[in-house]
Amino acid sequence: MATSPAPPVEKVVVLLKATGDAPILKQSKFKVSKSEKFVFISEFLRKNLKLEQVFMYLNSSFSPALNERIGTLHEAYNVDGKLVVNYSTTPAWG
Amino acid sequence: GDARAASYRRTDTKKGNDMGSGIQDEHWRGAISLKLELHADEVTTVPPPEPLFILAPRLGYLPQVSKQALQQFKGFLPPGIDEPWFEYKGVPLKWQIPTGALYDLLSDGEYPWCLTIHFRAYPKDALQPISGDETLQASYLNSLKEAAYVLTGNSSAVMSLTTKSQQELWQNVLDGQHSDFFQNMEKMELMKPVVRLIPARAPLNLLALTFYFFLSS
Repeated sequence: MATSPAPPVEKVVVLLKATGDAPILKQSKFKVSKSEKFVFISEFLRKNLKLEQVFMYLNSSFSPALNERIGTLHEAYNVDGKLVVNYSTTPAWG
Repeated sequence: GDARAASYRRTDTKKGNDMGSGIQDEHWRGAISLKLELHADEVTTVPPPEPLFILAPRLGYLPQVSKQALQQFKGFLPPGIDEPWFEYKGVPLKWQIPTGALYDLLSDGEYPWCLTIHFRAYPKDALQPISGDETLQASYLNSLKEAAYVLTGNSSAVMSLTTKSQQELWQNVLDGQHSDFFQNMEKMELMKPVVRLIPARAPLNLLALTFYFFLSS
């Protein structure tokens, strides 16, 4: 996910946590560029876990809009410097 | 226009209590006067349709007026599936943002606010798909959970609502019924926010929603 050869890009730490029956990733902590949109995470999950559909939540509470900047979400909702994204194959928190 | 502008810009909440429900009432009753015109590409008749003048509640969402707009413009459309979307000066409008917030951000005070409505060629890259009232309600409840999270540290206030209560709350929004809405909100104990949790910068649709919560309390 973090392959950026260009000038230093600001990145934040994202922690992906499986919930329910969702498959677990080999590596769950990533650095993501602040300017990426949240949809980037869903595409990453679907590609790496070979899922048709994935549901994502922040801090087990709500789903942010897919076009929100990761940087903004991290700033608002990070816990100990990490943006915790819970993902599942079925709706978990409504 | 100006009275409405003044009421929602009030940020002194202490005074708000003294002024009582008057300003709250006005804010909730506040509606945006829209002039909807069908996009030229979708007009298949001569003469073209008359524009639709309609009031949209500030604290509601543009898709609420889609049904009436469709009734007005149906006879003029080319064949195809009806997927309404709104555009202002070439910019597709995000339906998840309350109408009042869109108006305040984009219109520069234009009154009535002249929007173009489309029923074809839904811009899937710019707008999230919406399929009827359920999507709108689900989106609203999700925003509510996000607001609950910011106000209290978790979203249990919304999660613990029964389906019936959720329905009621949503219907309050649709009807612009603010006294019922706030009764329901109080039941959820969202009226006592833990202010220190408010992030300095918050995502836009969350801003829109909590903006209206704070103004209304």
